[in-house]
Amino acid sequence: MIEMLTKRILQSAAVILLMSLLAFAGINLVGDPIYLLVSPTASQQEIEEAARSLGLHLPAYEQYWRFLVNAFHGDLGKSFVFNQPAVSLIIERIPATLELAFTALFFSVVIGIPLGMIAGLMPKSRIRRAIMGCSIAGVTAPTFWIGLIFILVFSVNLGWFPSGGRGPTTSVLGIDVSFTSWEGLKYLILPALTLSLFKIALVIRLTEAGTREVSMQEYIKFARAKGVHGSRLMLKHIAPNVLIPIVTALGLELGHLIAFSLVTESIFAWPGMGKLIIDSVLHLDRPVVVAYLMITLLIFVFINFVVDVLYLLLDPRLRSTAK
Amino acid sequence: MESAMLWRLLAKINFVTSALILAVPAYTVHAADLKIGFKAEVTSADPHVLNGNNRNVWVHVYESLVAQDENLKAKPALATSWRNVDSTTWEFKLRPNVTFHNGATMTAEDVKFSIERAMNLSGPRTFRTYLKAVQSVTVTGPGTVTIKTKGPSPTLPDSLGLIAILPKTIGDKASEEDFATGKTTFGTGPYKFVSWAHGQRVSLAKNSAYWGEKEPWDNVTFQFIPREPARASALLSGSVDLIDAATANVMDSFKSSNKIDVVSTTSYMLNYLQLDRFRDNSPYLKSNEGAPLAKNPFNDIKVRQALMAAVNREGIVNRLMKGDAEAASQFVPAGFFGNDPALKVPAHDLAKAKALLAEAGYPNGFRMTMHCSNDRYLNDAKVCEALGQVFSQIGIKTEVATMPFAVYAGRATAGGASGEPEFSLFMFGIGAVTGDSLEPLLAVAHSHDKAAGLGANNRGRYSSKEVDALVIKASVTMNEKAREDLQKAAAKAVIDDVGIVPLFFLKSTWAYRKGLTVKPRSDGFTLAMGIRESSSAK
Repeated sequence: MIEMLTKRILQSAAVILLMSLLAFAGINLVGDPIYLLVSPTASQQEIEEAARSLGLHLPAYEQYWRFLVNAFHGDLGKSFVFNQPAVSLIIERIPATLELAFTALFFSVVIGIPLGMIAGLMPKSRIRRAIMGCSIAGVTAPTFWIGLIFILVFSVNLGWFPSGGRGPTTSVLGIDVSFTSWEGLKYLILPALTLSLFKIALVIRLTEAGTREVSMQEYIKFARAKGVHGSRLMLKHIAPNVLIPIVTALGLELGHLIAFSLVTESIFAWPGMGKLIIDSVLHLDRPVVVAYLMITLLIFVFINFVVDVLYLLLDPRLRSTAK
Repeated sequence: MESAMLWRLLAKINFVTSALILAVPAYTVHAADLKIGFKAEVTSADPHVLNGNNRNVWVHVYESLVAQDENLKAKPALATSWRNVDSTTWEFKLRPNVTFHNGATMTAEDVKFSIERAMNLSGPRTFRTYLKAVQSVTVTGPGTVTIKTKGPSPTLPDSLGLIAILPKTIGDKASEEDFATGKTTFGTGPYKFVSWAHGQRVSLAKNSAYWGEKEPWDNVTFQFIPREPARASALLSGSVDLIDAATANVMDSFKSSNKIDVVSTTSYMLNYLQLDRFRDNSPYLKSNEGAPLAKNPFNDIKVRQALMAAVNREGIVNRLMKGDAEAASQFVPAGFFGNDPALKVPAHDLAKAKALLAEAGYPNGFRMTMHCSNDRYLNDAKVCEALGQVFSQIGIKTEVATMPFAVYAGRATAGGASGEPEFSLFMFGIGAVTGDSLEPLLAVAHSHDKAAGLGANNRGRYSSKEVDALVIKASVTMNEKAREDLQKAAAKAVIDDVGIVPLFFLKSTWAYRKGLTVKPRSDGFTLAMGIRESSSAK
């Protein structure tokens, strides 16, 4: 058991090290950020001085070594653009991104599951065809297009929602959130809906397929024969069996929601991590890009590690092979 | 750009949906609040960190000894007057009874502290470039500051116009965080700092103790909206009152709306071509067979004149830039210090260009690769493709290579085998930030001299004794009239010699809700001080 754990830890460390090298090399290949930073008329001497102040004059391997040593002490460098620690810049924006991702997840559940079940229970009706047709549109329409259309219809023409930005925030348990007030919610609804459209469509399709499959099962027929029908049949007998694969899928999709919110964030000027990382890549703000990748990697490695350990604890067969 | 197409499509849908829905958004804007949709994002709260977009916001909070009017002419601000004591000494008389936002009175000590802080700040983004002439700053009276310069420095007041004056009490240790949180964010300007939400907005409030004319706006917000369609829809939906960088891509949707006005002005940003002049065998110039050329054709003035005549400036400006630019004949646009009205925009004349090439001994032209950035200046890659076509038309078979500026700038400056500039023909932009042609002349036209910091942007290594002499003389001439004449002569000498091929000046455009009046500024800055509620709307 202990042997297995140390092995996993060493593996994780190797992955992190390798990834840091890839991230560092990748962003170094893109170009030299110094010309994006200095005044356009700066002389060669001033440029060299500026490069020295950021450590950019060192050879790449030495820069990497410095980065590793500092990272080991918990310092992932200072942003060239913002002149602030990269980690705090990223952490500062996590709440906005998570808020958007979870709201989108919420929409996809409360809209997707009921529609999917309705469609699944009425396989021959027009309603089913309408719902499934919409879901195809939801799967295929590109997010940036949907986002622009939403802005145009709901904020420019109807004036119901603001076209971008984040509303007023309040602090809940030390985290700034904007969904506690109507004013804040107004800013959240359009981007969250845009982000969730694809997920809604996905949930509809999964639920519809599941419902159709489950409603053919013997025990449902038996329940119907016993006289169970309507909402009781749906909620008690069908829903629990349909939901299991959906919950698994949504768990996986949450990661995607967080990672793929960048397009939505940049259309709606939503100040989350996605927007920060895009801006940082454009400005070649190396410390922020590398820190972002490292933080994301750490989260993934940690989750995988915990899952592996849980498997070990739960499944005796794995323990025996580990010996 | 595909976003332009998309936007036109959206404009059509817009028309249809508004006809169907008949819902007109109500402008629920408080009479005295101003919301600005701002393209850039503020990246630093320390006003001594160099960044044009940051300065645009912070000039509301901080003032300098000298201010710039809409045409970038110097006007008194915290200094009421300034004069030369001798050719290397400037004396500034300070405005009395000016208070910082923390209540302290501004003194000569604060001015000395601020200029020295700007000179000694560490990091890559500082105003040191503009202060390199300063030898010492001394307080010579309760309201007098004397600045000694290393040599005669006629443009010092313009340069000091970029330096924010801070109270000395914030100390040497004031950090970025202190400024970002408002702990040390005290200026003397017409607006006070309220808050900066990273990536979202900067909020400012009226300074009711301001020494000058009081502002009509109680609150001013700079909302950062980088994407063009998003900025346009924020304006159309009424969530902001005004947006900057309203380029031709979104103009269609404003025209179809009757609630939006637009104003634009020519900015200081010049886009120009530079030519390799220091190598006999320029790496991206080849014979038609692909062999190296015997000599560098760009060292022949006829070839350079052919390039000058081949460029279709009016076509680029009207059709490609759709009015977002103005054809250029020299370093600074009309109205700027050093503009020579006698220099006319060169005519587009393909026949003349072909004849010049033939005279130079290239009747069948040659092969060339031209390099450009694709993410730095408005439409930069498209402009280069268009230029490649006209050069091909006169017989110079041109390939266009574009790349991100971060890669491009490095290669253009030092991408050669032994650290020399790499490209043969390439496009750059330069801005006369202080409204004076001296800075671009020194940086682009003067011979490259690393030790002296001259010709910093002269990546073609153009070198003319006549131009160097004129520019250097101008840089030490204290008499304004004489200096302007020298700069005009220098500009004429460079253009006659085709030291650069000027293309166009970019325009700055603002769109705003009807009922406002907006004073356009040549530096493209969006200042609440220049935005008023027009009297007819009230």
